Amino acid sequence: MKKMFFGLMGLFFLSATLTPTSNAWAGNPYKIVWQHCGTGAEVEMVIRCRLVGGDECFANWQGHCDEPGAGLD
Amino acid sequence: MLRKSLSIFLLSFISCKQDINQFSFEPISVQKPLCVSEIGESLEILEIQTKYPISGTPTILKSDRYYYLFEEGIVTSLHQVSLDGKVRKSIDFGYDDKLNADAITQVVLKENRVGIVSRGNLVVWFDENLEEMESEKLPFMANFHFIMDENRMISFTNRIDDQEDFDILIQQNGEVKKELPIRKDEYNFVYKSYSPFSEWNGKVLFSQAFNDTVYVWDQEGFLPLFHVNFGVNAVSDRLTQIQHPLDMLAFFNEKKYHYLPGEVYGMDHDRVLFQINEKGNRKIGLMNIESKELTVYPGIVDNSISNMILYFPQFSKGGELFFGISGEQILENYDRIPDSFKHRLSPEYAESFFIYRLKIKSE
Repeated sequence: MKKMFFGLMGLFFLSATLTPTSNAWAGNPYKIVWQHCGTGAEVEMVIRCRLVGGDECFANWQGHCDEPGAGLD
Repeated sequence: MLRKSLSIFLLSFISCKQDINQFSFEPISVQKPLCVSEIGESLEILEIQTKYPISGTPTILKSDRYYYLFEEGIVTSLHQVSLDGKVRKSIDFGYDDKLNADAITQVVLKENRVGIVSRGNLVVWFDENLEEMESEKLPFMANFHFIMDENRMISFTNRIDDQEDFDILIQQNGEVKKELPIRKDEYNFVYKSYSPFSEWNGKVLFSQAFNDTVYVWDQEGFLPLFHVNFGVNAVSDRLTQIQHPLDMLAFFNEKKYHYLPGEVYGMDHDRVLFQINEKGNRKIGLMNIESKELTVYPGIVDNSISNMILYFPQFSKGGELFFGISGEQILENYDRIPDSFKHRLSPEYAESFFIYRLKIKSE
């Protein structure tokens, strides 16, 4: 939950400071990479920033897949 | 004459319809997981003890002599592991190094070399002692390259390059071909994938998130192999309504849709395994090309040695499926694992990483 909270805070901050005029977000200027978390059954996604050509990666966006997913019982 | 023409028209319509039906399959869900004993001939479990516990889900690669674990969590490290599970060497990647950890897009193998791909188009090759050898510029930029041999490579761009209009780039004997035009009206979904390609009967399978079709690349070209018909649960044009990452998060939290997340595993002559996301749950689909049956299982369970739920493989290679399990997962399931497996674990097992190597039983 903590990583989701910080990820969302980061996104809110960026959406407030970088008002998405036109289709800038759709163009993925910050190279967000969505990543499935854990090896469990539940779909849980975190955002990773990867650099392709610049210093554009905002660490506070990122989540780490450090929690195992929900189990199959 | 009119009746004859009408009959020919109806017959050709029916035969076309049959062709479509043979290509598109409605999945049949079962409650019981797929058991290792049903699909496997033998299972080997390796415990790997690294200096620090591996964070996240490392990428597993296997050459003839070593495993490689590429960790992209709190640290970015490459571990070389002997086939009996001993860590031989490791490289840590920092943010000020020549190879910037944030710029690494993939790790690839070619013969006995391991290559770190930076920014999707530059490979730095290391030898078996993890000594740097040389750099190589790839013919195109892509998030995932699948090297078949010296003359053949297929790559999934995964929207790494805003100027590129195609998802698939193929280099074969010096020629470059492009397939699957990018739908620019959809949200620019870039994602980490472990097995978008998989070798199968000398061909290469391909699967991509939200495109419910599995493709095959062979001498004939790049063609759809089968489509999964999710009916009213399909995502269809929902991604065209998404422009912002927050919308995408909302989409994932809706848990309303069924789709392929883009992970595929070739099994044997007639069978293809792939991941399915069903309303927020990850499942495993098994397509039997011969019997034309598509079955969806809630996951794969090791009922032979550890009684662990493996969920799904990370990749398949040479008739074997490879799974990665953290020691933490084993600790959480300690009550369900048999004593015979408990005795095999090291005292520090909870901080280890485990590779399950399953040799597939031919049907």
